[in-house]
Amino acid sequence: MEPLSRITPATIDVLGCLLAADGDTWGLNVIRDSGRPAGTVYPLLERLERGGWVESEWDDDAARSGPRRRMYRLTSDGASAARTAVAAFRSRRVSTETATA
Amino acid sequence: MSGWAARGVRLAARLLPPAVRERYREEWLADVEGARDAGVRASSIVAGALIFSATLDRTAPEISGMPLSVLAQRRARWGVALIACAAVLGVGTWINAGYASGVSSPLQTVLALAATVWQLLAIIAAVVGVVMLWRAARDSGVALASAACATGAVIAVPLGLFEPGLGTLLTPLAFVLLLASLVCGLLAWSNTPVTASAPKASTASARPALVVGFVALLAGVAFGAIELIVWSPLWMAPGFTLTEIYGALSEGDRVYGLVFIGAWIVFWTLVTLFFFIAGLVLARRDRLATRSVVLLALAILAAMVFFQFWAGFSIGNSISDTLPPYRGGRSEFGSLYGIVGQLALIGVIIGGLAPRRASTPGIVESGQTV
Repeated sequence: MEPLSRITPATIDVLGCLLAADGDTWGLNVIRDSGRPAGTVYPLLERLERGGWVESEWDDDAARSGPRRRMYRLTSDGASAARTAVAAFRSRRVSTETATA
Repeated sequence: MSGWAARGVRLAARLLPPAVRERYREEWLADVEGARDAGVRASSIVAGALIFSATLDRTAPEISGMPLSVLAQRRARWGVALIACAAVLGVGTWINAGYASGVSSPLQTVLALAATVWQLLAIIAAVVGVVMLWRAARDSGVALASAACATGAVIAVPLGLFEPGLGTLLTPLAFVLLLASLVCGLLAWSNTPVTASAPKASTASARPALVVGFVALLAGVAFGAIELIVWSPLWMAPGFTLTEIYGALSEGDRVYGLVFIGAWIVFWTLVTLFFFIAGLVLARRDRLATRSVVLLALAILAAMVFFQFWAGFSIGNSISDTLPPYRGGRSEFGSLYGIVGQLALIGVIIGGLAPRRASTPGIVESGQTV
């Protein structure tokens, strides 16, 4: 797994959604739950997938017709790195808010 | 699913490299379909897809569908091809003196416009070519040398043009750098050990292409001959008839000049016939590829036009030395002919040097399909 060159608040939001899903989640749900625009989430998911943090596959729901949904989930390494990144980001934010208060 | 949104994500998918196009097309279509239920605007999905297509890192092997070395090779080839095209456009326009014939006519207006467009295209091709070589240079030392030389040439040419005092130094330097850039670029291309799989050569349209090429080359010989014997003399000595023009020349000048023109006509007629007969023989054995026929016909046409200019040099000099207004140059039909030659050469360069579209997703590595 490759480390991310930069971790932005949007990255943390997306990683948070994937952690909360705890398994396969539709890419559209990540857009909805993160509250970030698709123009931010799509490139992030691609970067995470290329870096080995996330893997994806087609939804195997045979009852649905039409185009298949793309389901994303954190890899095992990605999940632990995501927890670390999210925790580090939140503690940094808390310390920043404390310092400015 | 709203039709415009589906069309939007399809368009965004079309902008992606072939290796990932279908995956994202289907993913985004499913997202558009479910957007309303998820409380997400379909326009956001379309915008996201377009942003994704525009910002995607296309150098990644997973995205481009080919190894970095192949990508570098393809960029080096595009760089070399574009810089060669820039040289053809720039040098061709310069040799033809901007296609100016000194007369006012609708054709002359078109030629002047062509000269301006050619110069603009030459600048764009040179800049894009240098960028492509620099991008290839990240993975190849030889491509780096090529990029550096091309950059030097591209800087030297305008400096030489705008500073006439430096022109005598910079113009030859630009030519040397350009040559070095092309040589290094070709080396970078040939040194790359892996190549993207190219489509199998098609022979389906080879015979029609051969006939079209044959007719076009014959027309090229006929047009060039008329330009040399009729239009060019009439343009160089306006107000005189052809009989008066040729009668005014000394017998030595007339014979010498016409021999050059005659040799040009005979030589290129024979080349055209050989092209056609050899093509027919190969076509009978089913060994004639359409692409090869087209490229060969264009190469012959480009060479024919290039040497036509020199074939008329002797008679042109004699006329301009003998009859008023004692001017050199060539007729506007000659300029038009020169443009055809330039375009043919550009076709050869693009068709022969630029990488062909790789068939997806197969990549040939060391001769094996993976």
